[in-house]
Amino acid sequence: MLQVYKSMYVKIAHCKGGMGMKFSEATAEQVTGVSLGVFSLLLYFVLIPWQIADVKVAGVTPRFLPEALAIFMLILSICLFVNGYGKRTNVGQKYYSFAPKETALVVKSLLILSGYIVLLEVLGYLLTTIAALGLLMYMYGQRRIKILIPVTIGLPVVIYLFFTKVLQIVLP
Amino acid sequence: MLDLMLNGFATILFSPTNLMYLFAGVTLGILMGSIPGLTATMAIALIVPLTYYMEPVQSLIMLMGAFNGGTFGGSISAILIGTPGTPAAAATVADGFKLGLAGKAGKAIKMALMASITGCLFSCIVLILVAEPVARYALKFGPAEYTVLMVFSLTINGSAAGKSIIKGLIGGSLGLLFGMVGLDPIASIPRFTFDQPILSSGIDLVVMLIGSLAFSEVLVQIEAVAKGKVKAHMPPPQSPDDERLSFKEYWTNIRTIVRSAFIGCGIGALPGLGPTLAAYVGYDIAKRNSKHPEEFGQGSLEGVAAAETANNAVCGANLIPLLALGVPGDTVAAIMIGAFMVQGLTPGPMIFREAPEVVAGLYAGLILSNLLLAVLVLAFYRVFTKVSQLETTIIFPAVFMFCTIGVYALNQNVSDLWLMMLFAVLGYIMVKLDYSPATMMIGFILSPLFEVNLRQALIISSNNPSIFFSTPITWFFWVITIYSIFTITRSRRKGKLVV
Repeated sequence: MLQVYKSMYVKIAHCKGGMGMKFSEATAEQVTGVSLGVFSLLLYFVLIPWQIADVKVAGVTPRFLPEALAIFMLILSICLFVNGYGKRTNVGQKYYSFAPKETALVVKSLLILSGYIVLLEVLGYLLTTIAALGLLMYMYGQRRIKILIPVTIGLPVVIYLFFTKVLQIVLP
Repeated sequence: MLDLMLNGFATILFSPTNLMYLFAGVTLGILMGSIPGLTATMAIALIVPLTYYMEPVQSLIMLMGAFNGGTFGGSISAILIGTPGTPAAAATVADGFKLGLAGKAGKAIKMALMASITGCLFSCIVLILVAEPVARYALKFGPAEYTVLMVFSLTINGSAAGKSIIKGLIGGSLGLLFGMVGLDPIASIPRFTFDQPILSSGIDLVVMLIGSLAFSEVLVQIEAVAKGKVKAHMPPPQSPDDERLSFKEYWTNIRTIVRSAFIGCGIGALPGLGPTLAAYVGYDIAKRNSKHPEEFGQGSLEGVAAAETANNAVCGANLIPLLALGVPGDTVAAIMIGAFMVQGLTPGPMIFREAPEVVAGLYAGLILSNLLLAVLVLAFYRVFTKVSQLETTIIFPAVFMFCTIGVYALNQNVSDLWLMMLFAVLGYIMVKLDYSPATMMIGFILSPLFEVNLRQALIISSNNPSIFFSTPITWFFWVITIYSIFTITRSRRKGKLVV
């Protein structure tokens, strides 16, 4: 198990540009198989006893289906690992790529949207949406002012008016 | 039934508000379907939050209109820029784009339109004829039969929708697990709530839907922004005939259209398959039966007709298991279940007794959406072609904003937005690693139904599992589950199943 994670770590570390990685289908299936297996065991031995009270009711207890599911997921994780292990010498297998440039764009988008959520109730809908929309459009490569300004201002205003006036929903 | 149907048509045609919602649904569907990266599923996922404030018929016709419009809309960008607007239009690219490059984009789009309308209308007729009799039979189902039906649905969805059966089943299992968050359906004790008030009533369907299907898809698509943009390079038509579709051209392909309509209906009515597979199978069979198979892939109108009829024929057919049995056949049907639940309705055999007017309205809406589709596309064809070429730098940020406002509007609670982000990241990782968020969504929707029926069956039988093998209906579902898995596995080995 450690060997699988180690091989993946090496691939991440060797990827140029920092925030990216590339690995084969075999590695991906082995890693996700092990991760899912660990999660299934955690679910069965930790999460279910912690989060579901052991009560007696007619038929099966509230823990029955989550426990059955944890066992089923453990079986699936073993199947996935074995499947991945069997593919490790296959030539021409698929490679999953989290390329640095693309992944960075996704992470930056998520950070901007997280900031948007944090500030939404502080600064209000209009201001935060205009700022987030403008930032995202600029980040994705939009440089034309005659498109940037009308869209970043017009769209939030239209959405705001639609929700507050038509649907009668209070926005911050 | 005829009275109800007439009433359904009257409800829509004589109510400007209802007509407006149908119009809005079809328009939004075409717009989103025609933009590469955005799908018909995403269109209806974004519409669901708005339906909280609508009447049941308004909500359902708007969603079905969007699905129908979106499934067709995918063909516009497939023909104009060689990029399918939706996965279901992928088979249209081969011939549609070649026709576009020959200056016959207008002819190809009109053939796609007529084929889509024929396919959808055909499947509406099948839906009307088949759903109620199946539902009447399904009234005989008890908890044991329903449990085995859910096992069938979950297994088939997991097997067919993912890139591998194991990955599909993992997606379905995760969905089942998320569906258990909240109060236990029988003992009413909290499960997996972590003392968080937001989780005490379970995960909101719309939050998970938008996060894992719409938001995550845009996260995947924005990677393309880093790689560059797509631009159209269509030559102008050489003659007015290149823009027109004659009745003769349509009629020449009628055999292909009818065959594809049957294929689309058959695939749509089975759980777990969907329009993409229907389009490929329709295209493949049309090619094999064509008098000019050599023209397929070189700009064949017959190829466009085959693929587009088949994918739109799924629109009505996938409502058959939903309305008759309460089981979603694919992602769109799963979203429709959510829309029914938002309105306080439970799809399934009882709906024909509890809310027949809603069912009739839904049928009428789906049929009328085809007429609106024709009118809209023929009247505003050039507008839609412009939309399909809109820059992703505008589209993707705008969709992010629609996702967030749609989720926030549900409860005016920022916690919902964090939950949506969580599912977006999970959905993104799943897509990147070839797992299907759709199987997770279907597992999530079926989770409470499955658990309640399973536990009720075990209460009835005093925990004796033989109840799940006690009637011919349970045996029937076990047999078709095993048969379907066998067929799907064999198709995968031969590399035929492309979903």
